[in-house]
Amino acid sequence: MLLPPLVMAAIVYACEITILSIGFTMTYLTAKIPNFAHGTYAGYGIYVNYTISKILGLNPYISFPVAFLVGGSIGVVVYMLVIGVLTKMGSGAIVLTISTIAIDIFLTALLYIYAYWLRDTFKTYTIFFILKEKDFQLGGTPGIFFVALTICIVTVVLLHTFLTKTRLGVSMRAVAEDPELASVLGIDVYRTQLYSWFLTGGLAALAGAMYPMWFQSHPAAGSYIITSIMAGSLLGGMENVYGAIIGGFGVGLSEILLTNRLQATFGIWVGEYRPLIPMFFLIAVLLIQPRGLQGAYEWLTKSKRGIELLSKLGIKVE
Amino acid sequence: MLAVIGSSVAAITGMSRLIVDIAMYFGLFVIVAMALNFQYGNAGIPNFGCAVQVIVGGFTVSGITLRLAYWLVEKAGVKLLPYQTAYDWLYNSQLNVVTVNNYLKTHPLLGVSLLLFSIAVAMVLGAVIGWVISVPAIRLRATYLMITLITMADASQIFGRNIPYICGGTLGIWIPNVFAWYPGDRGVITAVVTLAIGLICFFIFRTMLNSPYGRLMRAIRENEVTCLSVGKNVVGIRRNILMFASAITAIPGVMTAYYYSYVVDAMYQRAYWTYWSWLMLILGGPGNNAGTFLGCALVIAMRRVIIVYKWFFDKILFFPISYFEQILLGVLLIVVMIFRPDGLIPEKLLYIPGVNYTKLVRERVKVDWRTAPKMRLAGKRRRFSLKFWRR
Amino acid sequence: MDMVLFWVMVALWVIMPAFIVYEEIKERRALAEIEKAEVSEE
Repeated sequence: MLLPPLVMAAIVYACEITILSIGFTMTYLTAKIPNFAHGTYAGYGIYVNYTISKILGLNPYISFPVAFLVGGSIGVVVYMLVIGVLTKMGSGAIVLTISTIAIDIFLTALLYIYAYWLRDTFKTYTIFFILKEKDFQLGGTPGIFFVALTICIVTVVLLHTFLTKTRLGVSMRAVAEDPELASVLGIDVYRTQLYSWFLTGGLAALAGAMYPMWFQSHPAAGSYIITSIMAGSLLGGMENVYGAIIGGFGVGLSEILLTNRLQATFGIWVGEYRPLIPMFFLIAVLLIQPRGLQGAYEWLTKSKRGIELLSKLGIKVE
Repeated sequence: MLAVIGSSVAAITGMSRLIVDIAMYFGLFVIVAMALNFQYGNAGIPNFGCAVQVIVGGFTVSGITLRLAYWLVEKAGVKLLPYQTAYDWLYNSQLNVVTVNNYLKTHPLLGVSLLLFSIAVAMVLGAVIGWVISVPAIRLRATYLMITLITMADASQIFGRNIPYICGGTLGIWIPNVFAWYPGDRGVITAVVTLAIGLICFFIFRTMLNSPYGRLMRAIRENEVTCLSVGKNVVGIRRNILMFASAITAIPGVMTAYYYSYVVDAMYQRAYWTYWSWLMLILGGPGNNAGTFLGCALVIAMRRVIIVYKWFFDKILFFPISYFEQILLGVLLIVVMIFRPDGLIPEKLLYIPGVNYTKLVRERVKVDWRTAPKMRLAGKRRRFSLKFWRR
Repeated sequence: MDMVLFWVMVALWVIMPAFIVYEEIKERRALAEIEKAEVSEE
């Protein structure tokens, strides 16, 4: 083992939360709403992985691209049927958010039904499972550690090049900022939105496909981590994707490591309160500085009170 | 022992039980939905954390009223099993509750006063929770507020699940039957009390909504900056609204606890109290109480019909019914949003008789001033049509 | 005895909304009449 298993678990978890937070922030920038169904895309990724590795008996790593496609298509369908229609009808942000919550409920119920159907047809346990034994080992360390880290870094780099260098990425950012101006410039807003929803759905399902390799999963696991995803995005600030990376890693690492540290200090009962950590981050960020860490950084360095506070602490900023 | 306690619930069987059950659920949800209507339909506060308001009511019964009942009964000389530590609190609760029930059979006044006490304390605690909720509502709007409130509701459920002193952790705790002195069926009297409270709440809400305070709420919902410039204390008014609505929402929590004689945190799940209540509100139409009624009646009828015909559904569908209900919940919400965004009974437009709006404005604008409260969406709200997918 | 109370409550809950609905319809019809009168007088 390279590192203690706890640290490895934390890093794998943080990688997944980061990829999910990036998708969540992208959806927020494009559609101006928090997409509560984002975690459920990950749930679909979990079950794609399960189907391919347990039912079909193939290597679980094959399921990653399949999960990407499945998640992307779900995202596209959701946009075409619900979000696009509601946006064209001129609904407000609250109505759209309520509709994403409804989609979350609907998709989770579908996933439960699929799990039950799998259980009835193939006679294996489908509700609580973990796929760790199907992994390969690299010098005694489970392979998912390297794979997760690699995928995370590769995704970030690819996304950066895609969003800044390619035509489609730049038009996505343009549509996210100002759809009317973008359509004046000749960008097909509808198709660009379709692409961006495909991308976010696919990324979420990819992260979900990585999840059961280390952690125990059940059909509601997707909606269970939506709090961590939102905390990660909000911590980093919802203004651009790079904040989501910082926030995702922060929340992901702290959720596991902090729980362990508190358990060592206070006792084993703290473990039950693990979901409270991202909730605490979320509420603290929203109440103190809704723009997250980026906003806090700007406040500290640019606003008057921030500069006063910094100078009192002895840090020099010009 | 379980049979003794359980049989008191099923004293009336058959069709009457179903009707009483429907009436009880209707009473509970109509109070929650009316309070939600008060917050969202009139004040524009999307309170997706109403589960925490209901939980507070349940926790009052299991945490405070129960201990009070134990203490009073012990002072009256009846012997109770020890309940000081968390372990004994849970494992002796059934037998203790039976003893308390026997005592309450001969002391009707104590039973009624326990009920009133728990309602009063629940309302006070609900108002406290409302104050806590209003703290984020000052700075945050719309979607961020929704995120915060949903998170708070989840957090309260986690607290309830893990602290045995409140409601018995994951096992749950038994509640004495405050209507033990009543010779009839306990479910019926609880339903009657709930419906009576619902009636009172309905009239209270109706009066508030048709009063100048209601106009003020709607004004804040439409255009907050104007109200601030006129000098109204918008923050304080929002806080009052939330506290009042939270106090009222705590009452169904109390009545649920007494109906089931049992409190466990899984009964107050987010999906159950929040999503179904919102579906009722949106289906009926946010903004007027009649719509809330209609939404409640429709949703509850649908759910009960599904449960009654469970055997039929089990034949053609191979999965448990609860997931089918969830699918219906999601689909209905979306369908209502698309086809009837104003709900089945849309909000009545504000009209002050005697004011000639055309003379008031003197502008040649092609706007119907009767729709003044919906002005901000004028020209931007379109009906659903299949042309959306034509390129 | 309890069933009597129960059905009384049910009756109240059926009559009361019916009455309120009736009043609402009357009010909306009156509003529509005023609106028609004002549009035609413009």
